[in-house]
Amino acid sequence: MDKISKNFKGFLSDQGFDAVETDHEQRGYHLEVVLTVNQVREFAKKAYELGFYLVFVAGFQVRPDPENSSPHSGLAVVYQFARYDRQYRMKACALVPDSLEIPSISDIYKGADWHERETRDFYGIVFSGHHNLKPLLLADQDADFHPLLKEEAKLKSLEAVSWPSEAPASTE
Amino acid sequence: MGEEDKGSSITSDLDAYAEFLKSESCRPSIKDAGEYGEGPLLRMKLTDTVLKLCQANSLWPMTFGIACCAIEMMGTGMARFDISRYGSEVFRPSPRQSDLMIVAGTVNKKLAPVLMTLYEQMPSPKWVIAMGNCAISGGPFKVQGNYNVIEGVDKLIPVDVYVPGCPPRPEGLIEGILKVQEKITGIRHPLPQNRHPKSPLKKVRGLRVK
Repeated sequence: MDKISKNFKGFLSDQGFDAVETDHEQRGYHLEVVLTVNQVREFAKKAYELGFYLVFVAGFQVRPDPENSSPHSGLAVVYQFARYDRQYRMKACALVPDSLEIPSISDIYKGADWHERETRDFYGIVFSGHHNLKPLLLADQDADFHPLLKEEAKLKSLEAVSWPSEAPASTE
Repeated sequence: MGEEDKGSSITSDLDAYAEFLKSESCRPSIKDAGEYGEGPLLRMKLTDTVLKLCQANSLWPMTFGIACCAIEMMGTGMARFDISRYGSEVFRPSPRQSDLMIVAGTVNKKLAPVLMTLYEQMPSPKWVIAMGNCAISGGPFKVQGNYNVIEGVDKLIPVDVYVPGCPPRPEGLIEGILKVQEKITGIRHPLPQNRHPKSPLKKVRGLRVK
């Protein structure tokens, strides 16, 4: 385990995850992982075994890109994990497919329960496998109303809301 | 999604409930409606006057702080501003024991049925103060695309006194309580205590009930 904790990126890359080390001072996290829908639960299990805790689950919406190799609905789920024993944060991001379904991790991380309900409230993302996916913050009669979904004209592309893809400028 | 104004329309169930709460049949009329009009069966003027004086000077507010206005409400209750000077310091943790509801904060859709139930659970006669801009009109949340905040508690329950401010100063809330007392007895209470001889406040001649 000690060996792994010196090199999370290498370990996760070996497991088949698309992990990139980032500049913590610039972005606030050390490792960025892009997940496919099928990898979400697997990644959460690995993170749990490695001793990470869940910081938050959130969603965001971008303009759907038909050119993209993996078609998506424009919605994405962001997870952030961190550790207590040292300063190390991971951001994991998964694009939600057109079915709006993404596997729930609330049985792996109990704390994800309400975060996922909140994300469903605001974006309508369905966390399949969640044991109690009813409105958390909004009233029951608004179960089909998702206030943070944007109008077509206000959407930006994924590139526009992401950090620039080139390696961060070194501050040394 | 954002285009329709969701905030102004609460569900039809709640709307009907609110209409009922605000209707005359739900509020026992305390106005003088002739010799044998509405109100209590047995009416004695002097007893009424004394009773109303007692009610006005012993308002028991409900502990119902729902947003940041509650901080000012707490401040009003503490030693510096001290609403016990006006007889309304007994904050009760149960609606069954209180006769004044100070709506101190933002009411959203999920809280609306709770607020109406609490109002119904209060024994009559009862009074309501809408404290702060959120409770009066939705305040900063009354924007286009508001989907969750009730734009004024007077859409849900009858309100007696509105205290504007964001949040109002404790002096403002005290003034609101004095207004409620004025509404109950018909004259402003407390009587000017230790009135300065040159004070512009008029001397109160007698206790008249409007």
